[in-house]
Formats: sequence, structure tokens, C-alpha cells
Amino acid sequence: MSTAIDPNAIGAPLPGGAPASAAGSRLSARVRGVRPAVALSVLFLALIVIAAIVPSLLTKGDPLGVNLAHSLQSPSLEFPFGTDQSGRSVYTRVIYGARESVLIGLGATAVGLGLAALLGVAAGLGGKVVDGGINRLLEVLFSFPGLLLALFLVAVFGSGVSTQIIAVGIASAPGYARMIRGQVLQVKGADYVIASKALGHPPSRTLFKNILPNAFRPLVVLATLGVGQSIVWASALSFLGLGVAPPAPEWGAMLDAGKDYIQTAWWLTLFPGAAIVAFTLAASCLGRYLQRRIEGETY
Amino acid sequence: MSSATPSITHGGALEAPPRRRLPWQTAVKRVLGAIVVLWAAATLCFVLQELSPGDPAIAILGGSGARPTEQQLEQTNERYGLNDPVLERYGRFISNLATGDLGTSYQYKQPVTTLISEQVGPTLVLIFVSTALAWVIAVPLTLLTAGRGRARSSFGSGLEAFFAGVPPYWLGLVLLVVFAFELGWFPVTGGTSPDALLLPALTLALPLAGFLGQVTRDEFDRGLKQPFAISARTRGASENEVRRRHVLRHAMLPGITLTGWAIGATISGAVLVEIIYARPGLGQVLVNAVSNQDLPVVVGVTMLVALIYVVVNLLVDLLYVIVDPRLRTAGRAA
Amino acid sequence: MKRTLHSRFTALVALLALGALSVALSACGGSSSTAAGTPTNSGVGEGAGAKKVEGKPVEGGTIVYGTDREPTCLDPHNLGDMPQTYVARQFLDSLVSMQPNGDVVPWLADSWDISKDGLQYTFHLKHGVKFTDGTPFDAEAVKANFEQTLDPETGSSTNLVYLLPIYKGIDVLDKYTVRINLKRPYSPFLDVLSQAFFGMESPKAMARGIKANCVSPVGTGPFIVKKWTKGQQIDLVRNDAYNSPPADANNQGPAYLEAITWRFLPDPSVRFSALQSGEANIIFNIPPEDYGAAQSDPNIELQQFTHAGIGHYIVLDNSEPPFDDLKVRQAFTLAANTPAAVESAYQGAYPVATSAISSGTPFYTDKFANLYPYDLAKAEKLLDQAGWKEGANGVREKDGKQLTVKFIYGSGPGETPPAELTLYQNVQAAVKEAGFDLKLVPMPQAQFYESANVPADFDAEPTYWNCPTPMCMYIVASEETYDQPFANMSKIKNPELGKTLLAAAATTDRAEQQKLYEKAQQIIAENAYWVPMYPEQTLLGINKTLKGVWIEPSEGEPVLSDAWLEQ
Repeated sequence: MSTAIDPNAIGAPLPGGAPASAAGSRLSARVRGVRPAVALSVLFLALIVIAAIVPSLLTKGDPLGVNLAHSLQSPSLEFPFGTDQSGRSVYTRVIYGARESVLIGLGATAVGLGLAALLGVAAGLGGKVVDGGINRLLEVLFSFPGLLLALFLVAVFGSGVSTQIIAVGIASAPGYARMIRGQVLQVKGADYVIASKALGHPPSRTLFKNILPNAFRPLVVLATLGVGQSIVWASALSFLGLGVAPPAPEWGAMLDAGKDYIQTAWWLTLFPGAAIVAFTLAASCLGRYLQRRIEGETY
Repeated sequence: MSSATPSITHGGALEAPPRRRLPWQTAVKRVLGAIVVLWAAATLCFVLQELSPGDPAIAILGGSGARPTEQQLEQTNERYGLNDPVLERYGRFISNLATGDLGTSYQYKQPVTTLISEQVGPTLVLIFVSTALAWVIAVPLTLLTAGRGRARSSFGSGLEAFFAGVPPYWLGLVLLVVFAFELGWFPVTGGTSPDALLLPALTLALPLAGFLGQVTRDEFDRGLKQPFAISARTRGASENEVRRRHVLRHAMLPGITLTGWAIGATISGAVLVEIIYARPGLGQVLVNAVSNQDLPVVVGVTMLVALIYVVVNLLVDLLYVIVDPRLRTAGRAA
Repeated sequence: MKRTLHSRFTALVALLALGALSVALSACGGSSSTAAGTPTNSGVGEGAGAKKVEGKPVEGGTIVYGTDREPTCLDPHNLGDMPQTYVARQFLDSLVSMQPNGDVVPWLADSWDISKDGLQYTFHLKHGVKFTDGTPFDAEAVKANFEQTLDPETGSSTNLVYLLPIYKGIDVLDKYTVRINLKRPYSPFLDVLSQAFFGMESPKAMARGIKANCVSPVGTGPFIVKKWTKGQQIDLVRNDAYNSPPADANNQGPAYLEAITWRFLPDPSVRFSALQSGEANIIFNIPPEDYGAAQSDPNIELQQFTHAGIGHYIVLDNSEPPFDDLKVRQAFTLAANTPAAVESAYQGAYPVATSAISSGTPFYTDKFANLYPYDLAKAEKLLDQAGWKEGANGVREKDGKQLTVKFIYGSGPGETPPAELTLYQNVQAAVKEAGFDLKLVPMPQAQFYESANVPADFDAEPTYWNCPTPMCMYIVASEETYDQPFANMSKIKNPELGKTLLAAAATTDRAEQQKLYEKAQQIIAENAYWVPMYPEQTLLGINKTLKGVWIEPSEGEPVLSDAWLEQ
């Protein structure tokens, strides 16, 4: 494996198992308390989750309630984020849109990581031929423009939430797969794995108790960061008109619908866009926090 | 649109750099590998096209706006061999590709190579300028703010995190409105003049800079504590010298390797940017071609992208060897 | 390395600042877009035709014409979609030029005779006209044009739709006399020939094959195609030897302008900003959201023309439930409130259509317009009568089936702009009140084209038909065109309607034509075969320093040969 990059960066435990000092510093980080920015991120994410599960708690309006008389009104007390071309409240649609977006983000990340895990583990553990074959496959996937893949998938399966999830998931899988493969390769050669084998443990035990948990540890962080990125790319698809069917209030679709009005009705693009950015930032913040905790670094 | 590789695990995303300078064997192996990649990409296109519903004949004849007649559709199907069995069509398809014949666009009736060569220029310019710009932004930012105290470094990393997470099309729209529509500093209509290049390039460069910055910064911070940095300091080198001459080089390595992937991702981003800024380029061509099932063009553009990716990776490997002095000495085994 | 709360707060502050900045800056510019303007389009052909303009024409200058769609081929004989006809008008002349009321005046044909039985059209061609590649324009050239259009290699569609049912052959009688023979009488024939789709091209150029002709067609027109940079623009230069303008043009000589840059600006905000900033002298299709700003801008002149034809409408699948029942179709039209939906979605920039053909079509009558104005109660009553009772979730049911309407549309890039999507959603919400469950189903372009002609795949879909004459009604509603793709998409079977329209085409008596065309409009309107939305329109935004632009009535093509740039 590459020598230029410090393998510790990946979050794999140091050879010899998790040292006592790391455990100690993790404890002290917990004791020290959570930073305000992280708390803010968690709060925001919690809000988004609430919006996804019980949107009616946060808004009384109907996201599909067309009212031509109210169309294109700028933000006011009645409509905090203004109204869109059909007179629907942008605020209500952003709240309800959380469900679509979070669903896509989580789903795409799950698909991507799941696929990547399969490929990565197979490549890492499978020996030279399998590894070579999977590497070749990853090369092809990397070189194939992700957007093109997404376009094709939409053409084949039709637009909609599930297609978006699959498209973004497959497109993000190769990158994760490489990472996981690297992880597995590394962990494979770690002392505790060798020890486990030397002790005569069955291969399955070595696999499931030593290799996999340690290889997948950074996945936790990957997942958080990945969700944010997935939402951005899913909404890029919506932006190109390949997303969910109207009138579904998905953030990317709202951006696409509002982009023609950016000079006259700026609220149509600002608020969905801000929601996406804020979500990604919050997820990224949380992810980095988790990274620090896992790596045991001090603040 | 390959995964936006999060910074913390960039280590795993990187291809193992070459162990030693490239000998003949490796070079040949690489070329063969590249051919396999190209063939696989083309086949993937073909398969996806087959699976897509819709009658290409209608699209060939211009879609609903052209009101094709029954007999025209039949004639078109015959002429383009669309009624032949799958394997026969695939065989024709591959053999044409192998001889370098990319065929004629269904929509434009022009050779695909002509279409692509007309449009590839602006896209290539955009991609390379954006990538260069991203480095130009990321490196100084890292150099100035990494490891220099809490306030500075957190400002730097905060900026990077923001730009890495912002949706490129949103950024593009905002830049367009603020700088072109409102302030009028840049021309509104796209085009190939240099000043029409800046905003689109910036739109692609900023998120990339954010991401590259994160990666480079992480590595930089680690590098500051590495033995070679410490020994440089004990030898009397100034802090700045240590940072610039020793640590920076080391820190740029992951970024360089990621550049290969980054260029691939930028191509997808270029589609969005070209649409927002009304810029000519392959992005629009590709989206139109997929939507209208213009298979020759889709395959042509895909081949080109795959080729670019392969070539860039090769160059990156070379660059890696040049930049990292440790690799120049006769190699260590994997 | 230490990461602190500062980094997070900084990021959030940066976001807010960026947001605030863009808010502040965009709030400064742009006027309210909700001011609904009333377009002046009340009369047939109003807005079209050469206009007399104040001022003395000035020679010289290059203008930028910004348009929304790029043609896929510059030879209008190939395919036959709107962007082609608009640009072809600049470099091709046709045999005759159409007037707003449906009459034609001489152009490349000085005069013509029509046989009594309406089956033979003999054209006497203008002498001394040359194509810009030196080939002379004569009867042989006209013959070559018709043959090329009918050649399968050319892939012409629109031309074939018009010609195939009626065209028998063409004879060269002498150097400047050519006769076209028809299978059956077709009184709108001359109007059809006036479109740029039937512009005359050089036989020598056509002989190169469609590949070359798509990129550099050659005509006799006021401008010459110099270069086509795909995705960017077409460069047109003046034809200094131009001597064949139509009889109704103000300028009977070569064009005043030196060159035209025909620029593609599909993004609406970019296109309008180009006009405002002066980067473009004239743009096609002012975006609806900027209509108010265009009207109030003293530097911008608007020209609007409502195209002839059927315009944009919602096809209803008449061959299958639920729309095989007249009552359900009527209820749908009553509940949809399309005029309000169009008004709102397009902010008054688009006129509404409420009849079988658009108000810009010759022989249009408003007697049968708006037969089903918005009336929710009436719609509900009709549905009850038709056996559709109220069911769960407000969706009506009958025999265990729900009243779902599968509405498919093309989601390819630029195919369905956001305002159009808003229109569909407005209709969706409106018909929901009456108990229709309208589902919007976006499809990738190629798939949409296929499904659009398969009745089993849709219940409703959008489409448009533009033609210079009321005979569009025949194309979209006759049994003869039942199986033809994109023709009779509503799958209408009404023998009386077909007979009426054929009779109208067979006579040249204007009073008789009026009677028959009106009858056809009545049949269609009463049967609610489809739901009209809005007519096609040519809406030009012109910088006030560019004078003399007018719109011709056959396809709303902009005419720039009379235009000049005020210095």
C-alpha cells in the first residue's frame, strides 16, 4: 500500500490493537463536551429529520396546495419563504421536501456503500485474480461519466425517487469501493489478524470479528459525509429535469423550477438552495466530529 | 459524478502510486488496460441503449416536432439496421469502433468525430482551467492558513468545507446573477472569449478547491509533524522554508493523485455549468444525445471522456514519481 | 491540528452572507414580474405583415438575433421543425408570400394559374434570379426541389405530411414555367407553399447530399449562410445580388443589414439579459417571467403574432376510458380552468386558446370558443351522470376503477420549461377538485416520442400543431391520418368531420370555405376532443434602434430583409 499517505489517516487502529492511550483520549473528548458548532449541526439535522418524518409539526400548509391568486409573492409573514408560480408556500414545500431529499440521500448512500462494501471486501480478500478483475471494473466505472450513467438509468427505469437513489448510489460506489479495498488490505496485514490466525481461530471468526469491523469503522464517517454529497448530486439530476415527477417538493426540483425566475423571484432558488447547503454543511460537520472521535485526536 | 471522496479517508481512494519508474512492461500493461476500459465503456453504452425504451427511429427523424410518417419510420429502421438482431448490431458496433469509425450522429447527420471536435475545445479548456484554478486557490489557502493557529486554520478549513459542500449549479446561478446580470462585470451570453470563461471556471473550481484544500490541508498538518520536517527545522531551516519546500510537496501528493478523479468529476460538473452559462461544449451535446437516443454521439463522447481519464491518470502517475522524491529511488515492493 | 467552533460558525456566517448578498443584489434589479400584460392579438393575422416604418433606412451593420432553440439541420426540407423555418426565411425565398388573411402575393413566382378542377397549379417564375452559388433559378430548379423533399434520404417530415396525401407530380413546361399536379383539390395549397419549409434551394447544392446541405444550404434569399458553429451561432451575411423579394416587402432590393449573428441562447434569463444589456439587438421568445419588464422598458419594442394552426393543446385519448366518454371529456375541460392556468403560469405573456384552432388562423370563428368555461359544479354533475361516483381520497370511482389520468410529457433538456410545468400542475390541482387523479409522468425524450403514439401508454399528453391554414384540423382528427405518428394523436374517429374538411379543401369559394371550416370548428369544440391551452406565438423583443422588422403569417417567421440599424 502507498507509503506516501499515512495509513493512520484512514482510521485503522495501529498495529497491535487499539492502544490504551487512544481509548483514554476518546474518553476525555467525550468528557470535555461537545463543541457548539457540532451541537448546532446536530440540532439542524434533527430538525431535518423531524421535517422528514412529521412535517406537519413544522408547518400547517399543504405543499401541493395550488392557489393561483397567491402566485409569486415575495416573503412575508404569511409566507415566510414566499410563494412559487402556482401559489404554493415555499416554506411548506421546503419542509416537506426534506423527506424526499433525506430519503434520497440516505438511500443513495446506503446503495453506494453497500455496493462498495461488496466490491471492496471481495477485492481485498479475494486474492490477485479477483482483485485485479474488480480493479478493472472500478477503472471502467470511474472513467464512465457518472452523469451519463444517471441519464441512462433514468431513461431505462424512468425518473423517480428510486431511480435517483440507484443512479447516485452506483455512481458513488467506485470511490468508496476503492477506499474499502484499501482498508481491508491494510487490516488484513495487521498484527491482531495475524495473531488471530496464529491462535487457530476459524477464518469466519477472523473475518467477522477482526477484519470487517475494523475495515468498516471509517464507514460511519463516510456515511455522514456521503449523505450530504448524495443530496447535492440527486438534486443536480432534478436540476436537469431527471428527478422526481412534479408536483413533488424535492429541493433540487424546486431549484430547477425557480432558476428562470432568479432575477425576479429570488426566493424560489435561495431557500431550497440554502437548505441543501446547510444540510451538507451540517452533515459534514458531524462527520468530521465523528472522525475526530474515532481517530482519538484531541480538540 | 464519481463519489465526492470525503477528505478523511482520501487515503483509501488513491491508486497505489508506481513503485519505480515505468518500465516497458508496465507501460504495455497500462495500454492494454486502457483498451479494456474503453471497450467496456463502449459496451456499457450499447447495453444501456438497448435497455432504454423508445424508438430511436423517431428521434433520428427529429422527434415529434418533425411529424414522421409510417413509411419514413420503416425506411429509417431499415437504413440504420435497427431491425437487425442484437448480436449482429453489437458486432457491427464494435468493429466500427475498433477501426476508429465513430459513425454519424442520428440527429445531426454529421460524422460524430466532426461534432465532437467542434465542441470538445471549449469543454477541455473549461475543465483544465477549472482544475488549474482550483489548485491556484487551494494551495495558497492551505499554505497561508494551515497550522498557523486556531483562528486562521479554522477560517481556512471552514471556507473549504463550505465550498466543497455547495451545489455547483446553485453556485453557478448565484455567480451568474451577481457578477453578470447585476454587476455587469462579465458578459451575459456565453461564448468562447476569455472573459466568458472566468465565471464558469470559477463555478467548477471553487467546490474542487474546497475539496482539494481539505485533502491537502490534512496532509499538510500531518506533514508538519513528520520526521523530515522536524529534522529540517533542527538543521536551521526557517518555518516558512520548511512549509514551502518540504511539507508542501509532501502535502500535495494526495491532491495530485485525486486530480485524475477530479477531472472526471469535473466533466459531469461541466454539463451543468455549460447549461447555466449557455456555453458551447460537450456537456450539452451529451445530455441531448442521451435524451434523444443518439447512440453514436453518446458513445463518441463516452470514449473521449474515458480516454481523457486514462491519459490523465497516466500523467498523474508520472507526476507523482517526479514530485515524491522517495519514489524515485529504486523501488520498494508493494 | 485543532478544529474549533470557529470553523463551523464561519461557514454558517459565510453562507448567510452569500445569501444576503445575492438577496440584496437581486432585490435591487428586476421589476415585479406579476404585472400581467394584455397582449394584443385579438384579430386574425394581427401582428403579421410588412409594416410601414418611419425613418430613412440606413445601410450597414451587424445585428445579433438571440433565439431559444437550435435547429438540428439548416435545410428546412429535412425534418421540419420550427427553429428551421425561422432561420431558413433569411436565406431562402419561397414561390409565394402569404398575407394575414390567407391570400398570397408573388415572390419567386410572378403569377400562377389554377385549373378549374383545382388539380393543376401552373407557376410562371421570375426571370433573372440566381442562387448564391451561381446556379440559375428556373423550372428545373423547382422540380429538383420537390423531388429532393420527397426523397427518403432527405428525411423530410413536415413537407411530406402536407404533400403525400395530395401530390401527384411536377412537370417542367418551359424554362420558367412549371406545373404541379394534385391528386385532389386542396385550396390552401398556395399558403402551404409560402412557408420557409418549402423554400427554394439550389439544385447543385442539394446534389451534394443531405449531410452537406444540412450545414451549408444555398438559396436565393437576402442573406447567405456563412458558417454554423454548433451550440453557438449561425453567421449570415448579406446577399448583395438579391433581386427577388416578395411583393409585400417594403425593401425591394438587397437587405440593408450587412450581417446577422443568429445566436442560440436557450436559457431564458440569459436571453433576456442579452437584450437588456444590448448584447443582442433582437430576441425571439421573450421569457414569460420577463414579459412585464420588457413591456416597461422604453428601449424595447415588442412584436407579437399569434400563429395559425391549432397551437398547444392537451391531447385526450379518445379511444380508451376514461376519455372515450364525451361527458368525461366535457367535465375535464370544465374543471381544468385552462385559461386561468395559462394566464397564471405564463403571467399574461401568452394568449389563451379556447377553440379548435387559434385566433390567428384564416377562417377562425369565435362562435364556438370557450364552450366549456370553468364550472366545477357542472363538471361534477356530468361525472355523476357518467357513472363516476365520489370515492376514497376525493378521487372518483366507477366499476372499481379510479378516475386516473396518466399525463405523459417529455423531460428532455429544454423540452418542458418550468412555466409549462407550472401550467400542468395548475391543471392537475384544478381537476383534482372534480375528482380526477391526474398523474404527471415525465419521460425521457425518446421514450416520450414513442409512447405519445401508443394510446395504451397515456390518457393525456401535450402537443402542438402549427400550420398556415385550418386544414391542421384534418391532420389531427381524420381517419386517414389515424395511424400516422404525431398526427391524429387523440385517436378521433368522426367521418362527418373528415368529410367537412375535405369539402372545404376542395372549394375555392371563400364563403363556402368559411361555412365548412366553421362547421368543423363547431364539431370539434362540441365534442371536446382535446383541451386547447395556448396558441403558438412569435414574440419578439426588439431594441428600438433596430427598425423595419416584421413577422410573416404562414409560420410567424421574422423577416429581417427590411430591417435596418439606426445609427
